[in-house]
Amino acid sequence: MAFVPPDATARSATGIPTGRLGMWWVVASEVVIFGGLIMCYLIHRLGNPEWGDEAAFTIVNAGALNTFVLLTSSYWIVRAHKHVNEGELDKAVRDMYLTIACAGVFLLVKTYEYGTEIHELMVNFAHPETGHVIGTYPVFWAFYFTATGLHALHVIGGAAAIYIVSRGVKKGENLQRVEYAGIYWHFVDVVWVFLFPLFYIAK
Amino acid sequence: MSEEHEHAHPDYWKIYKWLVLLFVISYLGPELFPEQKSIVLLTAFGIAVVKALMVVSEFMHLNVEKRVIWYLMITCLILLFVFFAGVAPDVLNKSGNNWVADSATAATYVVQKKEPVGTEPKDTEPEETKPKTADSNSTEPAVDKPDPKLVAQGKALFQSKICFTCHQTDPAVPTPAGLAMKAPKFMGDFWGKEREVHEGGPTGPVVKVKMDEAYFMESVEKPNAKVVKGAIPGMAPLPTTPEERKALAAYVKSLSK
Repeated sequence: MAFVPPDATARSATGIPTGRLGMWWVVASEVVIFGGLIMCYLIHRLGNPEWGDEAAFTIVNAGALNTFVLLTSSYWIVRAHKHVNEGELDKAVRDMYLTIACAGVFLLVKTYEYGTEIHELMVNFAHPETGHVIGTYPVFWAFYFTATGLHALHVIGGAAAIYIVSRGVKKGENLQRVEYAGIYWHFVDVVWVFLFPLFYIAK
Repeated sequence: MSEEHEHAHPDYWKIYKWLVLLFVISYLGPELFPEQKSIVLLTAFGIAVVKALMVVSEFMHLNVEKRVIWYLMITCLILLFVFFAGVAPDVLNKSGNNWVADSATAATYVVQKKEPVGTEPKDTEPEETKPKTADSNSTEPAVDKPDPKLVAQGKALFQSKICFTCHQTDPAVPTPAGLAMKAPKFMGDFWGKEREVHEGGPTGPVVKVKMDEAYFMESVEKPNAKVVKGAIPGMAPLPTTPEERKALAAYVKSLSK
């Protein structure tokens, strides 16, 4: 069974289905939201090399695990899109559930990280190697929590959207939405690909 | 027929394997060569760009998407670089020939230094006091060995009597108000050195005095008795007891190295 989207979603002056065009506009605005935040951070980070001492407190292995988890989730959601195109809706739904599971793992790891970091900030923890006291340059943490927090909200929103789309796919409705949700989800992955080196690796 | 079927699905598993391989490299690079900045930058950020391009083109299908979407994305990216180019000079340069961006400095630097409490006090305490006192011992006679307790008390007073707002003690933490008023900085090797001051007030004759305990304690009590040449007089004579002045002197002396 080949999938033919409804007329309204296919009609577009650009030759792009309306829903997909809309999603690209969402992505474009998100590029400016996250990009603006990252540029602000970059400017301040370049002017304050000593923030590296603060970055030493972020948990690199947890961030790396999350990079891998999001990469894997990106694979699942693109597989879901492929399965929908091939008419294998059951497999598509399964792949979407796997994507949501990856989002759950991501958020659990993030919760652990936030818990650790907030605790360290509350007790003025000193780095075991450098002796640097966490929070000496608090603006780093303002950027860290803003950027990763905004990203985590996008993960939550994306997972919810994918779940809603999966309910439609189960009934065989609005199958074109799988691709659109996928575009959004890949973007969330791409943002993390940049946040990881910016906040975890660069010291 | 819709756009969806105009492109065949690539081998996603293969792309995924490449992405994971790139991720492993980008993780291991900085782990294995943390000292080599070029490797860290190349593996962490270079590969991030490659990975992002792969995800965007293969997973988001931008490689087979209509060109207008490319234009849309590139426009957004150009706007970001315009933003960077327009804002970065102001944020990165906090002072120029005739101006000091006090608010920018204050926004990005903390004035207040944090003291560790709880978890690891032992590790940091000696670092704060002992190495510095050892330094001053090498230039000063061993007789007046600073009392760590007095230094610690002076350090606390330096905060509570707001000396720190003008007198810079850490090269990494500029003091905007101090910069504006050209307040003497307590950095480098300054204790026991001669300095030029206006005696008896900001318009008094210029004389040379030695930065020692007597001069320091007089200046805390009566800031305008001797005003450092070039500085704008404006330090408030905050009430202090002789003991407190002694503690402050011990602390400031411990900063000299």
